[in-house]
Amino acid sequence: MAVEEVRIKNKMKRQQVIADIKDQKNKERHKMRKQREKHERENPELKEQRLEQNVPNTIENTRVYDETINQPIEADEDELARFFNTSNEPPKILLTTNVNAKKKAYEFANILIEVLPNVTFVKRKFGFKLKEIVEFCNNRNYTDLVIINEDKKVVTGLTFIHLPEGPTFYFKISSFVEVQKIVGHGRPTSHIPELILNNFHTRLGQTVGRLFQSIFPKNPDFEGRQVITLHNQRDYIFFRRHRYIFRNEKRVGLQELGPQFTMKLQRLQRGVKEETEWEHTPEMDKEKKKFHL
Amino acid sequence: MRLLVACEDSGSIKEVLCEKGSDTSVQNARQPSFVDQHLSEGFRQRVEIMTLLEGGNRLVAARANGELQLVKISEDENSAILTEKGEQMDIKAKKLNIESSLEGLFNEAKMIDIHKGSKKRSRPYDGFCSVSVAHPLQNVLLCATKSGMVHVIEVKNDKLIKLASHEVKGPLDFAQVYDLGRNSKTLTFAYGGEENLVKICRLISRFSKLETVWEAKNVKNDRLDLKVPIWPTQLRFFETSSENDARKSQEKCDFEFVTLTRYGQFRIYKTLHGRKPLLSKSLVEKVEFTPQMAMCHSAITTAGNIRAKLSQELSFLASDSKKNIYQFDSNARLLGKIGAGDVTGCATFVSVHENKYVLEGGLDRYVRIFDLKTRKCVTKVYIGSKVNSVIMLDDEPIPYPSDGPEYSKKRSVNKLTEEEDKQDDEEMWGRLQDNDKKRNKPRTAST
Amino acid sequence: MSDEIIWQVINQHFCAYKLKTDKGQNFCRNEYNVTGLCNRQSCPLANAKYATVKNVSGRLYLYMKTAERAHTPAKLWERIKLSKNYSKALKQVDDHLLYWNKFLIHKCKQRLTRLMQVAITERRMELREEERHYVGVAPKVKRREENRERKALAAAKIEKAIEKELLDRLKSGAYGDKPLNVDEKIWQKVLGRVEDEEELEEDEWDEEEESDGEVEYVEDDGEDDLVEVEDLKSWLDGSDASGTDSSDEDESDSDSESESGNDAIEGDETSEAASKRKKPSAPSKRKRPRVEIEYEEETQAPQRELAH
Repeated sequence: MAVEEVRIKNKMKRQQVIADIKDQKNKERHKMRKQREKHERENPELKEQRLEQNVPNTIENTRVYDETINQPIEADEDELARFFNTSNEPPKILLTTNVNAKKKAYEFANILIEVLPNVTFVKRKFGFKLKEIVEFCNNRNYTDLVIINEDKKVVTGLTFIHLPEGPTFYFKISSFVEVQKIVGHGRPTSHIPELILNNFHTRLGQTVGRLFQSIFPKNPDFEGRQVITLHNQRDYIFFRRHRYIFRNEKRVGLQELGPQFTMKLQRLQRGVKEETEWEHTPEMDKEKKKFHL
Repeated sequence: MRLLVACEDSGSIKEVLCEKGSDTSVQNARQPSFVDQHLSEGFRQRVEIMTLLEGGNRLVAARANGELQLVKISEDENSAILTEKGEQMDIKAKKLNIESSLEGLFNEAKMIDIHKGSKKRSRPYDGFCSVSVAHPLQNVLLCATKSGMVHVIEVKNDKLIKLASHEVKGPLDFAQVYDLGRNSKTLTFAYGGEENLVKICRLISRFSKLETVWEAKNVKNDRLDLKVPIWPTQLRFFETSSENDARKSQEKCDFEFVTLTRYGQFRIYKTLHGRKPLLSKSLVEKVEFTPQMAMCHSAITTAGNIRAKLSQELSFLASDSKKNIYQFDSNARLLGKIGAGDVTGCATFVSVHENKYVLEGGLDRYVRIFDLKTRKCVTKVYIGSKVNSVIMLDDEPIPYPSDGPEYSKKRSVNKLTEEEDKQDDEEMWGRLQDNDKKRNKPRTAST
Repeated sequence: MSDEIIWQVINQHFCAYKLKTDKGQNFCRNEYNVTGLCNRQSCPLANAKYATVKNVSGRLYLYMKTAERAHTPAKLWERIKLSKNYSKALKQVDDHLLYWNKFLIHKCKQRLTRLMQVAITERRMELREEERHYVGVAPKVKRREENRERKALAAAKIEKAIEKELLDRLKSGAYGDKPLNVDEKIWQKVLGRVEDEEELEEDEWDEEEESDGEVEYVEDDGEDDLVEVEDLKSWLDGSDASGTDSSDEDESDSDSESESGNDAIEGDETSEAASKRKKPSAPSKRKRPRVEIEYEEETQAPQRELAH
């Protein structure tokens, strides 16, 4: 805006002049856009070119450099096998809650029973140490132990312990939406769903992605057309479940089956809750564009 | 500087050639010139401990499957390390050759019983807890496993020969050789572990007989009259303060040593004083420590003991199971943390190189080198695998063929900033001193 | 100073240890007080002869003071280490307070009992494994995380990402040669993509006409499925038996589920796909729907387990 206009002493006059200038500018812009649209309709390449050049800066674009992104995992078969146990055996999961869990935890357990394959729920009894539980699971060939953490009648966390040698993951759970509250939700069938893992890029992210890969069976029933998505965006992992249909080769129809919740990795420990490999600290949030997964 | 890093995920030894100041986590900082993988054998055969032998051109690698390997380090004539611009550098990569190996040193069956009484939640497998040079001249190694097997191994004509094996009470977290004495006929060492009090043993008559010389006693019960859990994880010997010379002291069973426990208790023992510790102090409350302790001292033997008397100046490093690396003084007072805010995973390896650098490697897959005096990070290299052990082969700067303009520029800039820093520092000091003087003046006047 | 004067002051004027309540009962904060109440009998200041039990760094001691030592405050209290054994400790109290006033003997024993119990509880709590980490979260941090999550969700465009991934999988052939989750027509188009581009272009025009309504509704889904079933029938070419079978299934499904029609169709479609797979073996078709029902029982089974 020109300096002279701003310096006009009379307020009414100044407002009017400035409004006029703004109006003028708006009109010019609209005109320019209209013309551009016209040009681009005539030859679409122009539009493509423009879209190519005008890439807005997003937080994802301007992410802090991380040398671990998309580097091949430096581990041999043995290390992978630790996650997947023996290749053909489906995962076998024991689900339990924290001690003195309230109703919400059991409701959440119900939902997880539906989502996770081959899962057994055991009510948590007082007086068993984690070591004893892990031994119990090892004797019965469980591959994973999942513990729901409830605090003050809210489900706050999920612990995944991969058996028998770890690692242990602790996720914070937030914004949980039950199935009934999702508009237009469908009813899931008992087919094994497909799994989509999006955006697990760093070394830590790959480890987390491998956890989810190992939890769900590797042979989905495609006729069920169900898909579970774990989408990582800015370290938040969004859990969604959909039924899809290929409308044509360019479009897919999605129907949400629910539930929705968001996970955030808080801690990764070696073994069964032993040395910390990675832990989230509030200081890590200082840098807005630094992501760990 | 040239590093050898024992990687966990691929079971290899990596050679890293990097300049002081390199940092892989910053895109436009100086990157390591060369990283190469040697002797990759897979996760199950990962190298747990590396010990450099006398002379620095041979090392003993202890693998997780119970294999002990003698590795010769030589220069690889065929290697060509290129600079970023594609020029060949004058420096050669190292070649690692296995000259000899020894297998079947574990006793896996014992670990099941050990696990039953252990506080560790996941089942431990047998592994090496220490491989150390007992007699530098004779090339005798003492190697101990977690299950309680103690082997005496001789390095002769590029071969590893097992001289004797003994079994002691397990589990073991450490076995520390006493190499301050000059007696070459016997071998004295101390061991301990979870619910296994510190014991000092002696191997006599050509290492074939093992006798326990001294055993520690647990400290008094705590405030609630509960037994204080026993779990020493590290031990370091000192020269005794009594008048006897070293040789006599070994015969008389006169030892002085410090231990660190898993629960962060720092203890000073004097065997002449009694079986209980002279001093037992909790370093940090409610923190579990890893079995890592590195002494900061100028006279450290190959086995890690200190060839000096226990004094106030001594300080040591210890890491906990979260991500902190602490530096304490001999009064168990916290001097500072190393790598705070940068290290994200538990440091599984901490050692001090020539009282100058701190080598750190851990579960966050980085190897970091800190300056011991300033506690600042000097070099940070992403290894891509969890780190079990780090050895610094040399500390020499890398000779670049023709110092490229980029580097010279960078260096000059660095120098400038350094000089500025120095100037700033001096100004600051000047001001501070002035302030001090001002402050001190009235005080001195009053007294 | 006589005890009576002290008590007068404490009771009527001021005492630093006194904790007043509006319930008519005052408490005492003095650590030597044997009951914790503020009254004449149990006031450690206003009684020259007094006894109490105290816990000093894990050990219990019997503390006694007498009027004879009142002039030496440093040696005012005489203390006796009590045994760890409860009955022995009681005996010790009895012995040392032999001719003392009944009230103090009783209260000391009561206090001894209580302190023993506290120690036992403390020990038990110490030995208990702490499974959960308790980490305080500042409201500011909590709010920040919520906001960041909200923004991340907006930036994620999850549905788009899923669609893209699914199409990628379809085109890369991750679903095999004869995918069960794709309509035959579309699959043919995907396959023929490379071969004849002209047809494809035409198809695309058709699709654009079809897909004018951007929003996808569930009803559409159902209709598509119906079309798909018909397609399948025509494709299967004279498999009338399977058609009747499917209708049977339809009934059974709707009976068992009694849900919205849409879901019934969904179920039907899947079983249809299954039947398509097993087409050559006619007798096995009868078994198919039963298997389907078993599936549903499986899904209910864990819920029952939960209930007990």
